[in-house]
Amino acid sequence: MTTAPGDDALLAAVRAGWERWDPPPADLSETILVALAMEEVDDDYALLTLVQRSHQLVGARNDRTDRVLIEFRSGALTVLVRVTQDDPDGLRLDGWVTPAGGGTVTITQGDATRTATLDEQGRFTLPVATHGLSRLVVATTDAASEAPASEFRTTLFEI
Amino acid sequence: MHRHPVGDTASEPSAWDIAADAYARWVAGEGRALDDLVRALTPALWHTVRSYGLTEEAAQDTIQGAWLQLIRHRDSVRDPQAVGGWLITTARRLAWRATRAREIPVDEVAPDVAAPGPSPEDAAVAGLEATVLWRAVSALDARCRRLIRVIAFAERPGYAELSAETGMPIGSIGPTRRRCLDKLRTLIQGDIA
Repeated sequence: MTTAPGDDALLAAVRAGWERWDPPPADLSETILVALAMEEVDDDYALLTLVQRSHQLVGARNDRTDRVLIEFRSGALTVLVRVTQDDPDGLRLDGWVTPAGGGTVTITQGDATRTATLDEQGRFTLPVATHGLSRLVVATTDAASEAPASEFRTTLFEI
Repeated sequence: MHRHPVGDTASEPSAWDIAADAYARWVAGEGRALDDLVRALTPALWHTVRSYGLTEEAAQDTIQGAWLQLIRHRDSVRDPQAVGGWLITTARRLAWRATRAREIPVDEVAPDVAAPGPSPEDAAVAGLEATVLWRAVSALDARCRRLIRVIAFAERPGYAELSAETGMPIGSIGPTRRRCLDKLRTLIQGDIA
């Protein structure tokens, strides 16, 4: 190459490069569309943002369990979730909502929903969940008045 | 409603034009137009958000967040032509916030850390040898690498709208963009020479 590429050519090359080096996941558009189809426009809620997600292998050599830790946050509210594979066809979600103030956590997977109540420490367990796209809805209760204070939702995430 | 003809013009409609058309149809009540809108803009949103160094999961979460904001506040986008820019700006703001939520200084985030380098069989990318381009992009500092990736996937390489989310003052965007592009060009030519 003898002449320097112009800005437009350079940016076109960068675009083509990144399209090849780091393409979007093949199912990303579909996931978004599923999430939007689940959306109820009129509802008022705060979005929980995924802050961190990590995998770890626990247990003895012949009995390894893949465990996933996911952290969501919305303002001062933090939701920690641990996904454990109990047996071949069952997952367990153990979670912790802080600050603790009572309320419920509901998991939605397709048409199936399951709700757990938060204990005094803000902990919850959702015993049966399958792999797939999931969403958590956290409804917190004001500890003093027992009135529903707020609803928080995650985006769709894979477990 | 107008359609963008494909085949009888020299260039195909851009993702932004497809998105504007789909958004106009969706607002008019055609539910399935949302599919076209999402498919048209997802690649640009992905590259924009990933340039902030987010993991794949965090990037997906951020992009979903931007779309949910559009659905919930569709009144905020009245001009269909503006929908792409609105989504990119919203996603960039969320991505910027996500990097701060992790309390990781943004310049320490390596945007390309998860991206594999070019394979040997990679052919030329837009006239440049892929390995040359990859080495040059990798050699840029994190800020330039992010800025150039964001600009490369932007509808119009706007200056002012970039400022808040990249953490650079408005006045410095023009010169910074210039400096980053020149640096990339120099790196490429140094490699070829």
